[in-house]
Amino acid sequence: MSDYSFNPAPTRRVAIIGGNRIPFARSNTVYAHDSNQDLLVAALQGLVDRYNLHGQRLGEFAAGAVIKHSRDFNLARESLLSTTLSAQTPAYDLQQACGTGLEAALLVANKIALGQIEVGIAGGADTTSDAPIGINEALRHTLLAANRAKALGDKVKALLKVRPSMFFKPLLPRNGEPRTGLSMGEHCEEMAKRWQIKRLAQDELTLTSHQRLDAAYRRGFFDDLISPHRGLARDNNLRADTSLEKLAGLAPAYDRQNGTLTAGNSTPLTDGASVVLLASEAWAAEHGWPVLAYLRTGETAAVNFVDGSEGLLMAPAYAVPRMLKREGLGLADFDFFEIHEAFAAQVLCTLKAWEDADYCRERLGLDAPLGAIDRAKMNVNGGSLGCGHPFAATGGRQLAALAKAIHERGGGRGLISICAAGGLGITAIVEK
Amino acid sequence: MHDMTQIIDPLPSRTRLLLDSVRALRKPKLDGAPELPKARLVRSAVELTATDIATYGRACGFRREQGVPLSYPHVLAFPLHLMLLTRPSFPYPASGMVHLANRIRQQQRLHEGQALRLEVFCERWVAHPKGQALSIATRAYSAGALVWESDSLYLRRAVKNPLGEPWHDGLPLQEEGLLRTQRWVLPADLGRRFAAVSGDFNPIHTSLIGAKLFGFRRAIAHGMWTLGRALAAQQPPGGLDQAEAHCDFKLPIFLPGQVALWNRPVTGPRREFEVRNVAGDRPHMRGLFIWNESLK
Repeated sequence: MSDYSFNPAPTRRVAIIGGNRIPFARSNTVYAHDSNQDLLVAALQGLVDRYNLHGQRLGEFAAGAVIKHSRDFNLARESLLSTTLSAQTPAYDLQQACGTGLEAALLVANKIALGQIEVGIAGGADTTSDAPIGINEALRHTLLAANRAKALGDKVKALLKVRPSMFFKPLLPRNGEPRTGLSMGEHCEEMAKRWQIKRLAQDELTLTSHQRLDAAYRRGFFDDLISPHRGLARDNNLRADTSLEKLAGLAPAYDRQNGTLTAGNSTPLTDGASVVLLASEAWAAEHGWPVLAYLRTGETAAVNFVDGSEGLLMAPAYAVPRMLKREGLGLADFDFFEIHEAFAAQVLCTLKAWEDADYCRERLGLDAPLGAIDRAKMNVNGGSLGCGHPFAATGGRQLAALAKAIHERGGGRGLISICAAGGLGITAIVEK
Repeated sequence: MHDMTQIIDPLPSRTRLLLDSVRALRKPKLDGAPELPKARLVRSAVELTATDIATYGRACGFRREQGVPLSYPHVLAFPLHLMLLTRPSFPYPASGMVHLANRIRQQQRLHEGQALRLEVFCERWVAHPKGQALSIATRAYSAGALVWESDSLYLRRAVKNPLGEPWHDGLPLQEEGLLRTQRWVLPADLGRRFAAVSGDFNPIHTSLIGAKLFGFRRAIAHGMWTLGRALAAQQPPGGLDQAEAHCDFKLPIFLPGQVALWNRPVTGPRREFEVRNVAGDRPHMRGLFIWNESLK
């Protein structure tokens, strides 16, 4: 008989203390010479400054980047060492495509909930300006073969296979799904056709995103959520003066003949970083920080888009009803919806799917449609269409902004939903 | 009439095959009806080697977990096809034969290290609206049992009053509901890469000048590469027990270039598909791929 007994401690509520990000910048603009690490350090140091965490040893720092160079194998830890946090704070990298930032927050939150740590930071950074360019595959294989060879003669023989042309055909990062060769925009264009999403509806959603983001900036909503970087104080993708007419003038980007997705109603490649400070209630009280909101739970889902049976970006449509059922909640129980706007069409496909009785029954296994979302509660302080979308930084941006919106309201409940490459969906519930 | 079985061992060198192809560029004018070559060319034990399968798989986009590619034994038999077509007794110039269609059937799972007996012979004439077509049969046996077979239809254009059974009109396909599910980027050296694994060094696939000599504006992708790529794209993980692939070759794919795979979003073990140009309005290949439980 074993004397081992397992008495797990009761789980604890996870407080969102605050967040920080740098303004997001369109690719190859102001952050063109910043690496992922430069961006992440800027966001993290800003948080440390705001919450006076200098020299403190925290439970952990979890962060990632989607487009990452092999030298950034320890991006989170290396970034942390460049800040004034205690160097005794452990860190690790993770990557779940555009869900990276939110997944990082869920992992840190789960450790806090289980009592393994008291406080931690979750985040993410991405740059497509400083993208890694690999050497030619044939050259790489040749060099590896030479490296494997033991004798000098064999090494020389292997190296003789190097051809000048190999130096002029580098391996570039691709903005496409590895298994289909289609770009994310092309996939979303197929979804828009399948769900018959109109161009005007996409442009309207885009306009709202820009207008609400601008309004949030003007009323100072982001003052304690953003640290300026490289002279940039606002997201430079924000077009406060855009209009439906201007958006209507843009040509389709992915299907020139019959497409509805444009450079306006799709997010551009963006550089940026964000971090979120999570802690136990005891830690928050001890340090005198108010709790903006609590990270209640999360759910991830994945769909088979490879055989075309489901759209690439439809996984959140599955994750949300699963999470709501588990938590005994309905869409009507929410005051805010933070839906990541990779493309206006992808948001509208998801909303339409939740209202479609056949889809909800056949695909989601629901007796009745999940329901409609009140647009007045959706992305109230702007979304990715307005501010841009540095892949791994989007989750942290949404989480901090939602927690603050709940805090400003004096309480409430919000839903976060993010679609990601690989047919992934990452969602979470925040409340107070 | 009985077949003349000829064991081919060793295989002629690639240079020899190429020289024979050059020699077969011209054929004397036929007096009367063409005669179906009676030879049955046999390789008695061809091993499915792991490295060759991997090289072929990389060229076509197969993944390791997909096992021995359904289209792979065809490339092992290809030199025998070429030997048949370049024989002095074959009535037409080999270079003028257009690969029209192919069907492959696999009866049993194939394994790395397995030895196959490959037999290749001219099976029958087919009367095509555009000329004289000919079906070349490939049969693969393992331990005496037929495990894999392929029928390749080749066309000699502009032959009047062709012999044989009428052409079946091609694969039926319901175009409604087909969706573009993949896009492939085809590099300029694709023809040479595929030649290295298939042994088919036909200049229309491997070189710009060669292609121009034969009337194409650029080198064109090998049809059996396109079939392999389409099967690789649609086969789920895990090897195939029983499977069938049918394809009709349509417009040539110029290299370098991009094409798209169109198929119907279903999850069962059956795919009707088309390979089209990027705009989606011109077909390069039409096909059907069925596997495992749907064949039992």
